[in-house]
Amino acid sequence: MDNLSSTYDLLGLSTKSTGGKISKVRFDNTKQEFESNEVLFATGSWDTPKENTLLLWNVEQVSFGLGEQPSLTFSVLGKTTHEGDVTDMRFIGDNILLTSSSNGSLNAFQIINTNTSDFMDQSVGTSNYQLQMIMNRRLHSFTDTKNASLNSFAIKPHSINDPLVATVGEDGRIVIVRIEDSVKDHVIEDADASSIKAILWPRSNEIILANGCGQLRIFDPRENKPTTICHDPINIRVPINCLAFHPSKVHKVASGNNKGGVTIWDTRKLTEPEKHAQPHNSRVWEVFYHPYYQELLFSCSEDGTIGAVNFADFTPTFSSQDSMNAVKGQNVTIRKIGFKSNELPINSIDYHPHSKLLISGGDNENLLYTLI
Amino acid sequence: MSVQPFDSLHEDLIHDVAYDFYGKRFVTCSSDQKLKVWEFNQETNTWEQVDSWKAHECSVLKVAWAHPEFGQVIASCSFDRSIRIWEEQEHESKNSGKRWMEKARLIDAKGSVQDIAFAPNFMGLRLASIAADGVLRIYEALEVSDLTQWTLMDEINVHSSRNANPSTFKDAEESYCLSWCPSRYQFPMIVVGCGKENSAKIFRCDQNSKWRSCEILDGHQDLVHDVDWAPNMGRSYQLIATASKDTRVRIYKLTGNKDGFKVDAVAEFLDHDREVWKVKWNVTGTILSSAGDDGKVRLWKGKNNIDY
Amino acid sequence: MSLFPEHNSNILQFTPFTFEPPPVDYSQFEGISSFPSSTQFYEASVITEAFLKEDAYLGKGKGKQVEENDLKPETRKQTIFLNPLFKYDSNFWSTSNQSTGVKFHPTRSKDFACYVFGKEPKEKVKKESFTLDTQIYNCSLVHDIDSRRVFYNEAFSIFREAARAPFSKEWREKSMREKLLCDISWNYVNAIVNHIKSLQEIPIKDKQIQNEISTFRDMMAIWELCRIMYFIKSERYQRLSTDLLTWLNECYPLGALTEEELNELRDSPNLRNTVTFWSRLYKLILRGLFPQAINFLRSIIMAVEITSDQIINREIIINDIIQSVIKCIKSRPKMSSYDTGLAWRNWLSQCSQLQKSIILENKFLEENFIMILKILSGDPDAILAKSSSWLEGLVALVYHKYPKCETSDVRSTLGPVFIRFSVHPDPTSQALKRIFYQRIDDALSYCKHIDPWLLSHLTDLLCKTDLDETIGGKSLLLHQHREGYLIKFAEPLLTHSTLWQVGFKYLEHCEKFGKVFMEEFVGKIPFDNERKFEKILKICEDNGLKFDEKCIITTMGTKYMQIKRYASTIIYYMRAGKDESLKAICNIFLTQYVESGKIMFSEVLDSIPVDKNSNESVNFLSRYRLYHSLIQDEFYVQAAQVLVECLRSEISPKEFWGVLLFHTVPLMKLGRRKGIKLFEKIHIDEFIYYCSQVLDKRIEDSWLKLVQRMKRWHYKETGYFDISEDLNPVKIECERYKKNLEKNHSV
Repeated sequence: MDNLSSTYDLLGLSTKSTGGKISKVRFDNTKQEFESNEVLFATGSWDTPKENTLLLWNVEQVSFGLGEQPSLTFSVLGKTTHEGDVTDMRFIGDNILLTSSSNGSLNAFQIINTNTSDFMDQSVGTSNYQLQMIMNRRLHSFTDTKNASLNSFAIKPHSINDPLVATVGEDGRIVIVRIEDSVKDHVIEDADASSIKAILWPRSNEIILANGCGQLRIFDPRENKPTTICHDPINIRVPINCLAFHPSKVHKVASGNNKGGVTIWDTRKLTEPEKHAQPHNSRVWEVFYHPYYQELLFSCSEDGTIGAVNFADFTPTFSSQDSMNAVKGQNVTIRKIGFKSNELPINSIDYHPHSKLLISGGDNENLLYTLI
Repeated sequence: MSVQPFDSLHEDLIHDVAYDFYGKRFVTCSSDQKLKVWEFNQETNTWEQVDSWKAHECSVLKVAWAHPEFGQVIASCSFDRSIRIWEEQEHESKNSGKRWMEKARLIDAKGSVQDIAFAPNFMGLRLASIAADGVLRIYEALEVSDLTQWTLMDEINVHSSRNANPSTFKDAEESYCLSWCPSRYQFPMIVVGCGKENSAKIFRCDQNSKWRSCEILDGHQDLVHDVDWAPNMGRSYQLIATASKDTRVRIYKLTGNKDGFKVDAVAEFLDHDREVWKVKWNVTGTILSSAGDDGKVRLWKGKNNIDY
Repeated sequence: MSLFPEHNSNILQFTPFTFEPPPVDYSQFEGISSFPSSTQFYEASVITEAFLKEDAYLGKGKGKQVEENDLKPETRKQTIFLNPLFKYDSNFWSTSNQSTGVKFHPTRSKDFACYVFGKEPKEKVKKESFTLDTQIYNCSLVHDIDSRRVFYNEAFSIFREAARAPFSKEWREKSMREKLLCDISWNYVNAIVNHIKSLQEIPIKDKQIQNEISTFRDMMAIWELCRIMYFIKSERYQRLSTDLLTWLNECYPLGALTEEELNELRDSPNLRNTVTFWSRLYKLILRGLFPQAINFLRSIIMAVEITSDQIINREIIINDIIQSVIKCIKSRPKMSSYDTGLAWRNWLSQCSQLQKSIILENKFLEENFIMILKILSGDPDAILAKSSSWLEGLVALVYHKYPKCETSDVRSTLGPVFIRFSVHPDPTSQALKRIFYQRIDDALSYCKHIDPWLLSHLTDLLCKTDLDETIGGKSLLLHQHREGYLIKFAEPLLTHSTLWQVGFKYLEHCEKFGKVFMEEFVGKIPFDNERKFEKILKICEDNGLKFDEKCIITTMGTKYMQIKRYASTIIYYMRAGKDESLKAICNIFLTQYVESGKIMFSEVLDSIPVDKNSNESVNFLSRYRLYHSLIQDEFYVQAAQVLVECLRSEISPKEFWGVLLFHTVPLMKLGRRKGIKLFEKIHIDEFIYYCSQVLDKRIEDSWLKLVQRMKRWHYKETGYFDISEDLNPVKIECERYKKNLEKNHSV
């Protein structure tokens, strides 16, 4: 891992049917790796006037013998239309794909395998899937006629059998719903007077929100008022676009902001963020931790690159007097990954640890990927 | 070429239409005293009515949208001598007749108000109007959030020779029109079509915020019905088009010199053969459209792009 | 309302026609859709019978409209639009109160709306009956570019590569530079080919798709020819002639034989006598398709037994001749760098010898064989005689007669071709002709009529080659035009709902004029949600469009203002630096307090972290709120400090200072009673000063109103009667406090 070369090159996958500018890519991490050979992922598009598309993909690695770089073949397995831009996406158990839309709705799609072959691992790459919408609920709006974009959602931990989903949007509300139960929603009105951009649900009694003015808020889902509100004094009022939590340390949260910086927080001590780094020079859209190598944070940005920040050798350096101006984050190592002729923003990334595949999608309507 | 019509369902003659800043909304005004606002629905590919309401006591003659940074604001002017400012109310439902609320009524004109136009937004929220009394009035909303307060900044007599009595003017014979210079790198300027003088005049606002009449665009033999100032787009000269009752469309080129502009009439089109009523430049100032009594709409394009 | 205008009663037969437009198929208006230069495009096609019946004006027959007059050098007349409802009657509109009007779309340069409008308002005309037409016609002259999205994206990344190429280290070496350019050119062609393939996969091809396919084919042909003629210059083993031949066979291939021809060939008793056979064979030879030619020749070799029969002897002779011709073809020297002139001369003399030796009884056969050999030896008359188009003739001529010629020599060979053939006036052919003549500027001006993509990208790539060197000294207009063409191409992208980002990226590569266009269009991108908004802002940030950035942020703020989400509004106004608007919002909140006595903006402020750099009005609100919460929590000393701060800052409107002064009263009283020193003497003096400021005549109106409103709730909330218009309670309290201070001081 330490041997990442300083600028990797993302291999461009030039494909005809990405269905538009990609706003989200997500691997299907719900299946165990030994269950099938298929590595599935989904892409969602945005900014297409009539309808955006959701595509379900399969990627296969074909090795040509020892010492050679395995080559990858991508194929589209299923497709469906999606109303509004795809703002967030996640696979949950039972072959369901959950997406949120810029028209304020939360959608769930059932993935139905229409391949009638019995044996799964011998399917010769031509399985066909159908994506069928099983839920479409408009949860966020400003007025009756004006929709508010549903920016992000999170799933309550340990509720995978009957998932409880918390959604946030530009109207500043938190709406908590069960997937197939359309009866009761729990709504926290006015969770924030401005628009909420990201949400995390690391523990059953702790929801973390990030808003358009760079604040983090922690809520107990049963209460209507936040238990804590904090912000980053160094990046004051800089909107935070995304959040991610550490795979094993549940009190550690990473955020990416509008100026291209990432910040690590400790939820036990929110008055001051723990670490900073500046992998990009423009808006960071997504961050996530490497699942195994846990001090490595990936981020993708509007500047068209992917950053990998290694916080392992972080040592804070304090200047003698003013701890407000402590220049932290001097000693992190940042690697950048980019595609030579890509100037257009990258909106989303995801990583599949088993196949070591990092895929990303952006505004050049292509998938970009690399093996790390 | 594709043509897609939609019916505006007015009960009387339409007098003016205007696109909003993004081209996604449309307002129409008519002799039935109503204003109707339309919105383009991407999914059904049609124009849908947002609201329709009685706006004035008489026929509504012209209508204009303000820049969206000021909100959803429309100004309309009418034969009843008033200019009214409307603002969209989000909490009212569509097609209720209450979605657009009258915020201000400007009644300084002593004749029917014949043309209004919002200034380019770098000047703030400003509105120019010209009425049958031959006076160019410029209003500004000094506090942008309060659309009820409009200050009359300037009143300029378009006809310098006739300073006096508005009552001697006869509405029926005068025809005024105006157009702001859209360029942000120039002093504020308006070109006004001056009715009976058969010409158009350029008024410029100097450093002391005083409006003065500057160059004159003449050459027409009859009333000037419409003027339009082309967007500049980095060219070293300005273009103004005029449409006249004398069946001609003219294009004037203004090249800057140390005192102002040198005016050249660079083109004259006689093709309409009938009174020409409207001229309008497109967004890049490369195509001019004109329409007249011959029932045809003509599009004109410059042969040589001088600076490219 | 009468639908039949009285003065035109003889014409119209519509009924619902007025309100519902007829279902006319406008797609047949082929010529009107572009702004071409040649006359043929002025004729509009006639459409349906309904139209003929109504005799709707179609603008036909106007013929050549180009202004010849020098006085008007800049304009040229273009399209005529039609109004389908009324008969064209030159007096119809003039005499009625209606006329046609037009308005352009604010963001798309070729979209406009037409309508019928009334010239004078109803109040000024006598009652007249007319046909009311309330239709608004939205017209668009552009073709949909949505189908090209994938292609444009691919092309953009190649464009980007091309833009970066001059900065790479390979650029300095000439040969590497050529290779780079060739690679880039190849990538472009690949993209074109991919797009053609994807178009061909569409099962139902309507007219537009077919047009697209043919346009792209043309683009490919032109591009490849440019590559051959311009991008490859150094010595290499592949000669121009073979390249041209390959080009011809790829872009304008010899089609398959038609049904008729096939039947003819199959049914013919003796192939040797069939005209079709020979004409096909000539084509194969002209186009250097030698393997097929050889097969053809072999097929007319007839098996013979060896006898001494006269006839059969003839056959043998003929067979021999055929074999020799085949051998001749096979032995044609390959193009390689070590081909000497000698090899060619030998081969040519072989050919001519063979040619001379062919004497047959069958003159038909003799002529044909001799013709073949003539072609092979490069006889221009023979070649041109058997070519069916100028392109074929040209390439064949170069290949057979001047196989070793260089690009700069091609021009001189072209004379005979054009004497014999005329070139079709369509832009592609004209462009190709100019490329052969190496008149690249002229070629590009024809490309204008093919496609703006071709024009802009080709010009851009050509600008990177050393074109100036090859065309002796004449200055090229390419470089001047490059930006103009790129902008013209990018402009429709800027307002496309998906391709706008790519469009702006193109403008970034136009140094002189790109910025002006960016300024004009960046504000016009509509946005509904914050994500798109942020992306638009990035474009502004990247290109230094500060004013537009501010406008866009303000627009977003105003959107939130209209739905009363004040926190978001404040955040955006702060970002845009709109101090005046922020002041107005703060006043709204302060007014709310005055009305109700309650702080309603707490939650709003909760979402906005403030520091010393944030807007002063927002800071004021934040401090003021702090004051109230300190009072509630009974931290009176700190509350007093904050109150003084608020007053001293003078940020709130003057009337509000009065409110702050009223707040001082209970604190002063408390201070006296409990002996806590809440204010200094200097503060008290300030309070008196501020009292006088509040009582200024100029704000009298608003002050009085404010006091009235406060009076309504103040007693209920605080139990004090301390409100009065003359601020006396404040003044009295100040005096008492001062005395108290003096007393304590002196003690």
